[in-house]
Amino acid sequence: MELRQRYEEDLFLVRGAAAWLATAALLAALAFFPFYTPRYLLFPGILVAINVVVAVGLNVLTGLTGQISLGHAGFVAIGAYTATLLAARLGVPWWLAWPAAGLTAAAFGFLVGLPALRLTGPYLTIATLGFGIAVHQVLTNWEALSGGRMGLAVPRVTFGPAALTSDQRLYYLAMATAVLLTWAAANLGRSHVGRAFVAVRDSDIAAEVMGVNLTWYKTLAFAVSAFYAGIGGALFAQALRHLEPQSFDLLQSIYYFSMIVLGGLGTVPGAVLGAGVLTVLPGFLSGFREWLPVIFGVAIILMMVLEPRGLYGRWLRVRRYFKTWPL
Amino acid sequence: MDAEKSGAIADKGGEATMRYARVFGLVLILAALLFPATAGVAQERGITPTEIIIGSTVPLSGPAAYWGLGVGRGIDAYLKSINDAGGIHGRKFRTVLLDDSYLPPRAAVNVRELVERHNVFAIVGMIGTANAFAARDYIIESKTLWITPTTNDIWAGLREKKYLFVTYPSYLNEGRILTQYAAEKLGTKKMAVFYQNDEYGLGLLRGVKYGVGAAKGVKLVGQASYEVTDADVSAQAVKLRQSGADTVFIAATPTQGALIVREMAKLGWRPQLLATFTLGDPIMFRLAGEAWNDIYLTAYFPLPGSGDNKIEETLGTLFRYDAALRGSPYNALAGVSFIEPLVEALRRVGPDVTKDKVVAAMESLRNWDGAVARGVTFGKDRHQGLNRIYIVKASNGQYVKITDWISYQTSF
Repeated sequence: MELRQRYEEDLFLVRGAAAWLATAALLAALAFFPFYTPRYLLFPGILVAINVVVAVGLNVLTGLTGQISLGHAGFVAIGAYTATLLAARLGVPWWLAWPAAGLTAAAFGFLVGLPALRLTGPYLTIATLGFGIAVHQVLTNWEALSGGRMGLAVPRVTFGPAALTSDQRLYYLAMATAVLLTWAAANLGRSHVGRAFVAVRDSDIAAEVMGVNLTWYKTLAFAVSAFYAGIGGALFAQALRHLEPQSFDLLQSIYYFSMIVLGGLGTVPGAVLGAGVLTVLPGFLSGFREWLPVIFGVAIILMMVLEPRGLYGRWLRVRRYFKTWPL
Repeated sequence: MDAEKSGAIADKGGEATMRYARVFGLVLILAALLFPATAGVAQERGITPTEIIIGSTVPLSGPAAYWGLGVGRGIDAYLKSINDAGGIHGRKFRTVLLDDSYLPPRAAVNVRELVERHNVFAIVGMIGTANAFAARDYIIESKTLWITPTTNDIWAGLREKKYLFVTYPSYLNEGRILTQYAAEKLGTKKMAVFYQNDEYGLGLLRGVKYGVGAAKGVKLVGQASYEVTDADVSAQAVKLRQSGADTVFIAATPTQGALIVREMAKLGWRPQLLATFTLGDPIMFRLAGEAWNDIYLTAYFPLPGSGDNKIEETLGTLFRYDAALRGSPYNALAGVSFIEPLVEALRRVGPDVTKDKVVAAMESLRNWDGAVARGVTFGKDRHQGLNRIYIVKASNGQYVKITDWISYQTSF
C-alpha cells in the first residue's frame, strides 16, 4: 500500500507506474484498433465512442448531480439536427458546426435545468420526459426544419488523410472526442464544480447552506450534460448520414439511462463500460430476436438487485478481493 | 589467448547475424501467414467455386418484424429450392440473414458485417427508409450489388448507381393511378387518406395529391396518420369520418390497415375503400373482416388466390421449405420477386461469374417474366425494373383483376 503524504499526490488521475502502463496500453489499443481487428468491427467501434460521449455526459447530470433525465435523446437530437442543418443549409464547416451543436444543446439544457430548481425526484423526471417527447414531436411535425419523417440527408464531412477509409477517419474523430470528453468529465468530477454537483446530489439544502449556488450548479449540470449529448448527436448524424426523428424517441432515452445504471452510477469508468456493453450486446444477442428486450430487462433487474453499483462496482470488488488474495 | 579472444568475438558476431536472420525469417513467415490472399488470384467477393453468398438485413424483431420475417425467409426458402434443383451452374446459394430490429444504426452495422465478414456477393432488400439510407453510402462505396431496397427514392442524389437495381413499384405513381381510377370509375368526389407517418405513407399521400390534382371534381378532404408502433387508431377513424369523405385510401401496414377498417365498421361507416399493394395479402380478409370486401387495390404481381398457376406453385414450394411462411404468403412472394431477377442474371452469365458480367446480364432483361415478378425490364440507363401496376377488386374473399397493366414513367 502506498502512502500519500501530500494533497497533490491525491489529485493525480493516474497513479503509479502500473496505472500509467495500463492507460498507455488502452490508448494504444484504441489508436490501433482499426488495424488489428476485422474491418466490420470498426463501425460498432464508432457507435461505442458516440454512446460513450452521451453516457459520460448523462452521468454528470444523473450520477454526479442526482438529476434523473429521461429526455436525453432530445438533447442528442438537437445536436444531430443542429450540426446537420448548419452544414447543409449554411455550409458551415464541421469543426465549427459540431461545437455549435454542442452549445445549442447546452443552451436547451440550461432551459430544461431551470424547472429543476423547483422540481425534484419523479417530478423532474417527468419534466425531462416531456422535453424528450416534445423534441421528438417538433422534429416529426416541423417538416420545413427537419424534413419530418421523410428524413434529412447529412452532408459528408471530409477531413484527415486520404489514405484512410471514411469509416476509419470517423472512428478516429469519434474516439478522440470520446477520450477527450471522458478525460474532461473525470477531471470535472474532482474539481470544486464536481464536488458541488455531488453536494447537490446528496442534499441540496445542505449544499446551499454550505454556499453552493443551487441555481448555478443545477443548470450548469444540465448544460454540461446536454453539451456532451449534442456533440454525441453531431457524431451520430455523421455516422448514419441520414437523420430521422424515430432515432431519438423515448426508448432511446431509456437506453442511455440504462447505460449509466448498468455501468455504475456516478463513476466515469462505469458510464464508459455501460455504453460499451449496451451498444455491442444487442448485435451479439440478435439471435434471440424478440426475446432480446426481455433478456435486457431481466439483466438490468438482476444487476440492480445483485450489484447496485453496476459493472464498475463489481470490478472494484474483484480488484479489492485480489489485493489481499490468497488471504 | 588473443586468437581465442578474437575467435570468441567472431563467434558472437556470427551468433548475432544468425539471430537476426532467424528473426527476419520469422517476420517473413508471419507476413506470409497474415496476407495469404494477396498472393492468390483476385476473385469476385461472394463467389466461391461452390457457393454464391447472398446477404440481407431485415427487421426480424421489433415493430416491422412481420414484414421482415416474410420477405427475409421468403428469399431464403426460394434460394434453398433453387439449390435443391441443382443450383446455378454448379454453385449453391448461401443466404446470410441479419436482424436490424428496424433500427438504422443496427442496419448500418449489419451491412458492413455482411460485406466484410460474410463476404456477400449481393445485398437483397432492406426494409425501412431510414435503415436503407443509413446503409446506402457504405453499400454504394463498397461496390456491392444492391437489389431492391423497398423504399422509394433511395437513388435520389446518388452519382454511382451502377450496382443498384430495383424491382418495386413507385408509391407515388401508385397513389396517383388508384386515385385517378376512383375518380373516373367509382364516382369519388371527396377523398381522405389514412397513412403511415414515414416515407412509405407520405409517398402514397403525395401520389394521392397528384391524382386529386389531375382528376376533375375531386377534393382531398381529410387525412389522418399513425405511427408504425400504434396499436389503436380509433381516433383516426373518427377524424376521417368527420371529414365527410366518400372514399378512403389506406396507406398502411396490414396490422393498422386491418385496424382502421374494423374501426370504421364499428362506427357504422362504409366509404369506398382503396388500398396500396402492400395490403394485397389474402390474410387481410381474416384480419379486417367483412368490410375488406369491395376494396380496390393495386398489384404488381398476380396475387395469391387469384388463380395464377406459377404463383400457386411458388407458394407451395415456399411453404414446403418454411412452413412459417403460411402466415405471410404475400411478403414471401414479394421477397421472391426481389431476388428473382438476380437469379436469372446469374443463370445467363454462366459459370464464370464476375460482378460486371452480372450487371450486364441484369441490364439485358427485357420484359422478363419470373415465377412472381412480371415484365421486369432493365437497361443501361434504367435500373428501376418495374413501370406498371394493375388494379384488383376484392370480392368474396378473392382478389379479381379488373384492369389491364397501367404504365408509368420510371425515374432512374
